[in-house]
Amino acid sequence: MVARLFRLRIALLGGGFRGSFGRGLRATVTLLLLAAAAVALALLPQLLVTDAADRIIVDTVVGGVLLAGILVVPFFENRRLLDSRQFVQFPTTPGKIAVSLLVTSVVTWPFLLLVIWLAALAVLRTEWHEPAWAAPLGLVLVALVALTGVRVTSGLSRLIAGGRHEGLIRSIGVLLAIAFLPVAVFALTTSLTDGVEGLTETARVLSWTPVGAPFTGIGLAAADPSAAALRFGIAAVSAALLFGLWVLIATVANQRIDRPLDPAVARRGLGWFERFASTPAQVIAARQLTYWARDPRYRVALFAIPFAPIVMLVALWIAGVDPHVLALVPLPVILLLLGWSQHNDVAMDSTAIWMHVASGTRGRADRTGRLAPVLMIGIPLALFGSSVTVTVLGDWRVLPAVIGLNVGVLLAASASSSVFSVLMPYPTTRPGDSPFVQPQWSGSGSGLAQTLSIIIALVLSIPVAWVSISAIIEVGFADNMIALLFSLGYGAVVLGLGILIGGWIFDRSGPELIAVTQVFD
Amino acid sequence: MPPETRSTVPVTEPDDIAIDATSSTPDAGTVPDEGAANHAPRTGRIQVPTPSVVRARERGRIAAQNPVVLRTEMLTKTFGSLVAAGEVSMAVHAGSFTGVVGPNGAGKTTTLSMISGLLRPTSGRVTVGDVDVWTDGPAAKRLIGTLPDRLRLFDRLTGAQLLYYAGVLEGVEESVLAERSVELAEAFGLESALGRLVSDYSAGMQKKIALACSMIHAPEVLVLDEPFEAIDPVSASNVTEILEKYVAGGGSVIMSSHSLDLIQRVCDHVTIIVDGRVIAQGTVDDVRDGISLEERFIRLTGRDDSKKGLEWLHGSSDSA
Repeated sequence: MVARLFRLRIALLGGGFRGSFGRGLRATVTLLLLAAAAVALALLPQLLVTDAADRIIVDTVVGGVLLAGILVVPFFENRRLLDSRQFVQFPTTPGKIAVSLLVTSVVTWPFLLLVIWLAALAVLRTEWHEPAWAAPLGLVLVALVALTGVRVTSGLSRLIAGGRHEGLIRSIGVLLAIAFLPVAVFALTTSLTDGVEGLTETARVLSWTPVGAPFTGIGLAAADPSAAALRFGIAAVSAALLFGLWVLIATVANQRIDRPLDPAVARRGLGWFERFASTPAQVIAARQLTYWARDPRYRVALFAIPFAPIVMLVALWIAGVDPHVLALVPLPVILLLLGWSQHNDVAMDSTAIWMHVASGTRGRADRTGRLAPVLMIGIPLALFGSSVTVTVLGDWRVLPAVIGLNVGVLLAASASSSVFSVLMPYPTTRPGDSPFVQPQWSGSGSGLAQTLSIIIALVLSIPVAWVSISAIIEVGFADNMIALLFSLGYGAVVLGLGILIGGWIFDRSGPELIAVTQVFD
Repeated sequence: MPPETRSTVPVTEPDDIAIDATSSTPDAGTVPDEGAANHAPRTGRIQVPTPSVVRARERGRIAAQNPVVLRTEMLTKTFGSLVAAGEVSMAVHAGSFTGVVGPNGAGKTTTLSMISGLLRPTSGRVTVGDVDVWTDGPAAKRLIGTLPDRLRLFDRLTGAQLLYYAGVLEGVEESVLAERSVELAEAFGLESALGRLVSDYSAGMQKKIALACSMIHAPEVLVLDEPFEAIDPVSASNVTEILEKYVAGGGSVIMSSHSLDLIQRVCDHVTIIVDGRVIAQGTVDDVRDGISLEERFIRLTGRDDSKKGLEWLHGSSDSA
């Protein structure tokens, strides 16, 4: 099995060069550039950082981040990797397939590039040459962690998502990459300007993780062999665990199959419906997204939302509030308004609510489905915006708390909307009307519903704001993580309650909702 | 008898022969001379020989023996002091095609909305099979297919999306949904319109797609409010055919209409509602009792078109 796969891997190595001359040339140039980049990555710390003690810190951070990237990326992008399922028909056991795949992945271009980087490190770092065993051992461990880690994450991704959701997983990866790009750039620039001191804390944390431990171990080997052995131990145990996990994943993957996709699947070619499963909550979500795309009323509401924080910012700025603090303001306000914008959705989207009532759709499903557009716009906005906020604030350590604040506010506002849109619907522009037309129905209620729903949204946001802002003021890693976890957990619980209460009201008062929306429809 | 038929006599003369030839078989129980002279012209000259009527009469006799699948008991709805439906009790037998007729504003839509769970009754009970619509909504609504009158559809979806949407909400398995959507679209002649937005459909096509949506989960009872309004005659006979097949397969239809001709032609049972109250119900033959449904209706309601009034409108204009 190993020999067979080995031949395949060799053939695949050459695959990029086959075909036209231009294609081969392009592949060659790309590979040369990547190899140069690998060497440069090893060389640059050497040139920029003169002190050996500082250099090991830089190496730990650079190596740790790179290795972490190597482990995470295959979860989202693994199309080019061989899969254990591709060999399921071979007359051998899944365990053997797993081991062969792992062993032979040393002859792939990404691994060879990794080897170039590691070899460059070994040659260039003269201070690592002292105990002669340390550098080879450490770097081999790096390679082992990388090899097994890539297998495990890509295997997990395939096991969880399968071929069906591959596109979705890839889009999520791109979205996350974009969302955290500002923070990454910011972290890079600060670390370049602050010098090594700023990295010490990061390196200390990384040194206890499998991705940073081997580098720290190499650095410690001369002074403190036992500490070095401990770090090497962390890496070795991790690699062993990852290996075991990979064999397990490959075995499971090769012994089960996905339910075959019906070729006449009903939702084919139905736009958003294609991307959602056929359950009531999800088709309602798909319909909402279709409506948001086709109905100008929603767009007008969306365009209006960003203006509110601008006014607030100008007012606060004139009042003389510290500009750094101001950076925190716009995003939560936007997200609060975005979540709150759904507080009259039953009236806004009243066209055929009778269909939900007549089919006995559960209120929970109706409530959940209606939140889809807001959450699909709001959560990426919260992640990306938090990253920008942190950049403007100039302190990336508060990122968890800022994310917690923003997502928490969005969820709390959505929870308030979920209840109020069934509790107190009021007339609005009718579906299909121009967004600037006022409803022809006079009556009280609209003001009350708007006021109450925004007040409830604000009150529900207070705990999130409290915990997050105290973590932002008193910067600490633990506090920030607690703020993030608390905000997410609190937001999820509040939103869940909002959906349950809203759903309960919907179940009880479906006919009344039809009657109310018919009055002004 | 002659005074009542006075307005129709000039029209019926040319048709008498045709009617005599065809209507003697279906209506063996009725008195021949009035069957020919009174009810036949109302059903239209060409439609008289259609087998719909024959099938409806046959079905009426059989369905009356079947168990009751939908029952309302003392169903009442009041809006303030206005009684929209007062103690409506009726029963729909399995495999029957029941018509609900009444003048405008008689409470037909109110009653049907209460049956399908869209309008909460002030008092009374609705049961489908053994399931109470107003205490166990979700279970009962799986058994009912609804076509409300004057309520909009989700018209910013395409026809195909709407069918899929309705099917999923009604709990249809995705594996059968594709097939059902296609077959329903074919049956209603909507194949070429499936890709267009429902808001761009004509009124009749919207009615047809709504009908298709109400049937997609193969319900036991179809509650249809004015299903033939705005539908062209060719499609109407097509829809009638679909509904008749559905009924022949054991399903039940309860539909409202203010067209007595239509009810008499396709329905086997009929309920007459006036001012929110049921004034007659049973098989069509029992209710009309030998005369045309329209005349029976006029007799029961005590209304007559030949009332006096509006003289100022006739003959001369004010300016003359």
